[in-house]
Amino acid sequence: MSIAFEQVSFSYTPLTKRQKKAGEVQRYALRNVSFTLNDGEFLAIAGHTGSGKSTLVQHLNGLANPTEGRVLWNGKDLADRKNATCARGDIGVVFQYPEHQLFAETVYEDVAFGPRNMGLPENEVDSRIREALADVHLDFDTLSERSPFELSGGQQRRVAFAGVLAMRPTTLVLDEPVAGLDPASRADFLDLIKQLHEQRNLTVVMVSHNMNDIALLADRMLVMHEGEVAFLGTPEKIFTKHAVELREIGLGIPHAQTLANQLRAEGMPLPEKLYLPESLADEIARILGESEAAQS
Amino acid sequence: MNIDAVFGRYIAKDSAVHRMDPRAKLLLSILFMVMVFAAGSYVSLGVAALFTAGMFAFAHISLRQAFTSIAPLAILVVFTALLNIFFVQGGEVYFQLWIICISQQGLHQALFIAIRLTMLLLGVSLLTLATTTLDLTDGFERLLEPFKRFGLPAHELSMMMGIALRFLPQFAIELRTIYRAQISRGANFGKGPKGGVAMMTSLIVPLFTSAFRHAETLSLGMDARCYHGGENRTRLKELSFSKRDIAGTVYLGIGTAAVLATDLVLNMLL
Amino acid sequence: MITFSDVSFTYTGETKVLSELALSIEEGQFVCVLGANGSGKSTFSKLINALLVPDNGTVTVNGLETNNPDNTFAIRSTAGAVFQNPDDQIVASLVENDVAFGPENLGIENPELRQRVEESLAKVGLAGSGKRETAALSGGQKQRVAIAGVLAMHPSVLIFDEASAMLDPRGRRGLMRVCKELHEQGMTVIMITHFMEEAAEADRVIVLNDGHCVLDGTPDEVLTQDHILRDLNLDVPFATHMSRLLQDRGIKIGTHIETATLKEELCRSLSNR
Repeated sequence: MSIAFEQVSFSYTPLTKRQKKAGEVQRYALRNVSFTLNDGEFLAIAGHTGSGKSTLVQHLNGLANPTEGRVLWNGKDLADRKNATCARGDIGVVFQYPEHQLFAETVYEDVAFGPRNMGLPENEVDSRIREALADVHLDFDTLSERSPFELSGGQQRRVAFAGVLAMRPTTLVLDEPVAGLDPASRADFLDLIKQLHEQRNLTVVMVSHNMNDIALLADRMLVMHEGEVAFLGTPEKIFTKHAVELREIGLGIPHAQTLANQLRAEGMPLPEKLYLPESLADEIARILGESEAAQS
Repeated sequence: MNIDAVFGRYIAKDSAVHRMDPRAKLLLSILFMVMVFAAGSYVSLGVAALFTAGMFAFAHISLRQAFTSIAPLAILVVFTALLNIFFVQGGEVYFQLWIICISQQGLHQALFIAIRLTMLLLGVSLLTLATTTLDLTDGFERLLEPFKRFGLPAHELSMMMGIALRFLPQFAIELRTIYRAQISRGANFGKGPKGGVAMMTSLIVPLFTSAFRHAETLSLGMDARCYHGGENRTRLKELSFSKRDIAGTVYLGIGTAAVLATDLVLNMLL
Repeated sequence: MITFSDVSFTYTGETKVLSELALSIEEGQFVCVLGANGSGKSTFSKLINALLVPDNGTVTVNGLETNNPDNTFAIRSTAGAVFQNPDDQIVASLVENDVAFGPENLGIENPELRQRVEESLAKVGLAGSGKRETAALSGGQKQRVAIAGVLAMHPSVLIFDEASAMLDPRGRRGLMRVCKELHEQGMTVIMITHFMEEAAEADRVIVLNDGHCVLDGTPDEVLTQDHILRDLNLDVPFATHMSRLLQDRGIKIGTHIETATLKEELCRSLSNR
């Protein structure tokens, strides 16, 4: 299932013809965004508040339609209402602080909302709820009849997550999925996302401004800046080649990469590549170990 | 996000209307209503419209901004107009089917009331478009002050009103986010009566829980900043009437007089 | 400045959140308080400015006991708090009105009131923004307005209760900068946070768990205890984590909490060989 952006521009207040003639300048939230989301990939979207990333997310399932250009889902234009409605079962979107959208009396009913909206028979709905709760590591027997509002913040977020998974999307769009969680829940949640991506082969789009998380998880990353695509490529390429620009935008680069770049500048012969803490430690140990051996 | 389309959201400008005393503006809103209700014909309604347009000109707010601000309430106008079309009978009958009957009187009444209601909404929206919520509630509180001795909690009322107004745009944004999230889960608002109820719950329950969440932390924040009701409280901005307020009163006074005079003249002519 | 003597606190119908906590914070200190959810750190901050009062023991701020209701407003104007959600602590639609809210409650009259508003806005880098609408500000700017609102009460202690948790990296950096500037001007700062970069810049780090104080010392002493921090479900600073990974690989290197010093030592050991 692929999603293709073809020169998408979007304005919240499109100008009328008369205003254009009067020479008013169009203000864009997105400008000329083109990329294709490949099947099965993990794409990270980075950018500041106001960079256009949230607007971009709304275009992924037809919640917002381009002012100019097209968004194609399997070749179908998402500006068409019918296509958008079909796409919404296939592209699951988990918004920021999704627990704030819980509403039903029980966890079961809340997770059932999506599948029921799809018009599935009750036995199918039931099996999907069981599967989705298991996917987010929540125990069906103890939790399904409880009110979602009695649960802890982390559990509530899992329920909201299950509500989207129960629609069995092939693409999962996550808008800052770990915002506001404490360190322990953050790590658990990122693990969960990784599992879904790897074991269920879900295509994942994750909006995040944590470069360490992106380095750890993403196959490709797209950096938004002032409504435009600043960079699109592998984290390795972007973090090694565009470190300076990223810092200028104010996004920074992963901790391990920062250290690696600094050490290289000081003359340590580190190859230019993507580093996670472990791989950087290996490399430094190798270099320092070799020089030690050469000395003796 | 287009947050201009929230009813009466304050538009910062440095105009004569903006600088008027909020108490004067509140009282003049009543005079404005009198003016609009005084109009009994299309011609005098036109005169009132001219004066209304003048108010917006003085406030440096374009009519386009004004209409955008009342757009969410258009449904109210349409609904009232429809009621009048169906329930007011008289004069020539244009269309009849079963119990539905559209008559000349009905259409006339619907149009007249729609115009009047739109004008009223515009005028009232100007009050909030050109006055910050704090000024507004401050003015409200001070107008009610004389009633305090009869046990009216003027300060508390105005504080509640101020906070409600401050959170209005916030809730509009949150409602939109919740709406998007439920749409993304396949919600189809308005699909059958039973479906409709479930859909509405999926919007309203999160909105309410969010309101409670905000209320809880907001009250904590107010406590932390030593809030303890209206007693011994000072104000950053002291209110005082000025020439502008007198000018405003004169302006609307003339407006009302002009409206009444128009109808009087029309009655004499016809 | 602030003293907790054997303080216990229990929310009605729940287990003890703080038990016999005893510690004191000196004037002018920059203290970071770390702890997982449910460790009692938020309760700790609310006990300081009398938003909660202890069941047992006493909390004193500048010699004033929080148990005594007569002290409440004196304490709250001495120890001001900024909370997590920027949208939940702005009461007014215009910046200057919001900043004035605290001193108005204290009965400060014009022209001093006006002067306090202008000064506080300048201190958080928002001079001249008084007439702006609060709804149009970014999250980071809203938090700075909230700080100005507290500063206008002329406090000597500032409590940040996870005030940066909902901000993006840029907003977080801006907030930290304001915080450090205020500290340099003599403000006592108590910062409750999850972010290790923030903790590394403090004078003192306190780690709470289950209502007890488990670690208390300089950032160097506390943040290098990576095993304890991990057991308590807390993050470990990147430099500490990296130092450990290198030590595990047989590199002789100290345990750092800041990347800059770690880098320097690595460069030294490279050139020594």
